[in-house]
Amino acid sequence: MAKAETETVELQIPCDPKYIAVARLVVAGVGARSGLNVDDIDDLKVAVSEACTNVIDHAFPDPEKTKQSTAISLRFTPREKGLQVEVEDYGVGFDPDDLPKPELDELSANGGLGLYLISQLTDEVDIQSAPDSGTKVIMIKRVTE
Amino acid sequence: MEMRSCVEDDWLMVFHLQGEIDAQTGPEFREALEQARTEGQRWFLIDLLKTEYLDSVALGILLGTAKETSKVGGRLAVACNRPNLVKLFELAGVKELLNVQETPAAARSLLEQAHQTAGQSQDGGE
Repeated sequence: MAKAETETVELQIPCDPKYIAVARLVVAGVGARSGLNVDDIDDLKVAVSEACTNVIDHAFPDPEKTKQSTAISLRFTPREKGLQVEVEDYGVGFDPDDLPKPELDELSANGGLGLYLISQLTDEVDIQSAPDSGTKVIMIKRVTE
Repeated sequence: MEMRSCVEDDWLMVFHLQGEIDAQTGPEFREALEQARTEGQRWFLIDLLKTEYLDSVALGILLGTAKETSKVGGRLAVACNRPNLVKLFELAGVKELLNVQETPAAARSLLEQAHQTAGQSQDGGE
């Protein structure tokens, strides 16, 4: 059988909370095939859900007026000893320099707890965003040795 | 998410939550808690033994309720024994604030003590 050109799994979900659970199902399926154990997968499920929730809460302040797609794109790519997940939107974006540094003492329910959990539950996080240019959150979860 | 709630012994409101608490299901839970507080409830036991998933949405709801109940002399406690969920309470630094216990009995015991103390202070003040 010919080797697949890429092992990336792509998923696009509507910008609607009811589809976040679908993203978690894919995390479980692809994560298991990437060698992540149950605990790693649980961590990644939360991290991916937080990234999707952030898109729903912040990316499209006025979804009816936006000309861009409001879909959330997810890409799952196996990496050496782990899994990379990208969560991308085409919403309003922001300047990453404006993000408060996640300090637990100052976190509140609506003030960065999601990003803080992402940073704690994954091994690498990169946030790429700019005003009016959408946002891409790239997370890597490594296999626990 | 499936949610059941009842009032025990005329003072303690118990919520049993089964399944997943996230941005989709959280609002129903938040509204139920807000309604209960509006009706005067201020002692809450949140049973998460059958909850399989939660995230910052649930943590925010629980933190908000704990804060509001403490303002009116009440308290909230959580029963949760799933390691993946307990880990989130610990990471967020809210395990003690939310009185997270391994069993509903332990959570209830904690609330009973606080309720008795609150009752004694009230009696002493009258």
